[in-house]
Amino acid sequence: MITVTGLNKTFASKVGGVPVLRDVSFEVRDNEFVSILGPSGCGKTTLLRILAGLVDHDGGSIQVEGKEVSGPGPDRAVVFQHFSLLPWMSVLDNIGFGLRLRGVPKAMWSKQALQLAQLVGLQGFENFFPRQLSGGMQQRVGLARALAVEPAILLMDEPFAALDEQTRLLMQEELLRITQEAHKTIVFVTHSMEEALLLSDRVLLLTGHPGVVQEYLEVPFDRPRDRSITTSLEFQRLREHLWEQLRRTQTRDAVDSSDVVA
Amino acid sequence: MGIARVNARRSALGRMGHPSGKSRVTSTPGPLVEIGSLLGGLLAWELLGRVLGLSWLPPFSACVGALIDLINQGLILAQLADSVQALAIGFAAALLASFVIAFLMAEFELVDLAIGPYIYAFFLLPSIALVPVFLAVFGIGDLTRLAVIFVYCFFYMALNFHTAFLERDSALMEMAESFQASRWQRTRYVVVPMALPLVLATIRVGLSRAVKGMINGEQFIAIYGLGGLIETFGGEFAAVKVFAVILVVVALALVLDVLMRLLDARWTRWAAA
Repeated sequence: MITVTGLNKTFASKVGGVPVLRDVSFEVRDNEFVSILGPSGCGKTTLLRILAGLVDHDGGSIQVEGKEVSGPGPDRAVVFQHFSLLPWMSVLDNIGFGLRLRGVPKAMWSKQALQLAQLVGLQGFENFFPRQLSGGMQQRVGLARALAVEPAILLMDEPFAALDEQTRLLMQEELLRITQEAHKTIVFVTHSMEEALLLSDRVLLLTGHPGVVQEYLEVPFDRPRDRSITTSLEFQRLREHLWEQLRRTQTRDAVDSSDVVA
Repeated sequence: MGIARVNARRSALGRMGHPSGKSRVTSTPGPLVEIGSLLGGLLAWELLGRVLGLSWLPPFSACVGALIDLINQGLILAQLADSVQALAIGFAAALLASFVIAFLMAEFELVDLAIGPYIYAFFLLPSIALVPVFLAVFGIGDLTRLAVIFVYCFFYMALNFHTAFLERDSALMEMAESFQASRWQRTRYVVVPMALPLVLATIRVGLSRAVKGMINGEQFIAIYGLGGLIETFGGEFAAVKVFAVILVVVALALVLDVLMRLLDARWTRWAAA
């Protein structure tokens, strides 16, 4: 269970503080899949990085299982937008990286890494270097590396944004499959409405500068899911609804900034 | 980061043991041209030596003959061993010291501010200018030779290692942090591997500078090693013997360089294009 209450974040800059997040409150239930959806600059990635303990927050509180977050912890693992694989390590060594840092003996971590390579569909590529893999395969390694440390919470920062369209669709289906098997609480940052609706139990809509919570939307589709839900009327309706919300705030922002210019 | 590989790809020697050696690069006439050029140069040396008959330019064959004679007289191998031993000690000390100091400079800004300027100043100073100082301090002896070898490569390597250790990929550092890597683990698993290609390229160049230091130091002392031989034969105006010793020095430097390139190719396989 993640509980975020009245979270504020301001980045320091030469011309003064730049507010990024204002009074953000929400909670994520155990084993729930929550997407943080919003346009660029709404602070969604910053929010995820704060959850990961990689960035400090200025006000409010973030609790995981009732404990205040003050840095990275073994209960959370991050999947990064640009994969962040160690180029000098093989696929297997990259997957086992987190376990190795924890002092797990090699026999154990390499066995676990092998199993995870299998889970994410990388069998046969265990000894490849990252540069020998496609983007989609590299992100499979990133996902396996995060799963390897068996975190209760998986934090995914636009994990498929750097991939081409076809690969992205495939990876979404893979993620649906994998999360079906491994019960995880997942916070997933995206700017894609379809992606958020397809994958999530709830969508946290973040808008504006600084980002505020616009809506916390329930996605009522049963699991296991597949892509066929995207053609349903309900999906279209939810997508339309999200777009309305986004358009309204986007237009308002555009008017705001043109006022500033004028 | 790419220095080692760019250099490696430039010559046929560099392609030995390099993973890209099997690619189409080898199918170009590159190695043939290089070997051809080398043979042509030796041939020109031989012909010029014979035709001109200058005392300071003996033909290549005469130099090789002299080298064989010197080896048979037992003059070369003993001095070569002596030189290599000094090179190994002096270079190892410089390598260790520069690695540690560069690492501390990269980790602690205070160290960088305190000793960085000295390292840089001595790097700019031609090392040979220090030889008289060493002679005064250590006298004509082994310590002077070791000190010369040390300064010829230490400052250069310390500066380059420092650059290498500062090359931190912030995304990878953050990734390691997200997995709760300790400071030591981030160094061990991110900073040092990241620095490795430049470190190896630096060691390669540092080694060649150490060879220069060895010869220059020995020439000053004029008793020891291959440099001592060059100085002795030079004093006798025996150009043919001087060239014979130079051939040995060149061979030594080449062998060390090739060994370093093999090591480089092996350890930075992950980065090969």
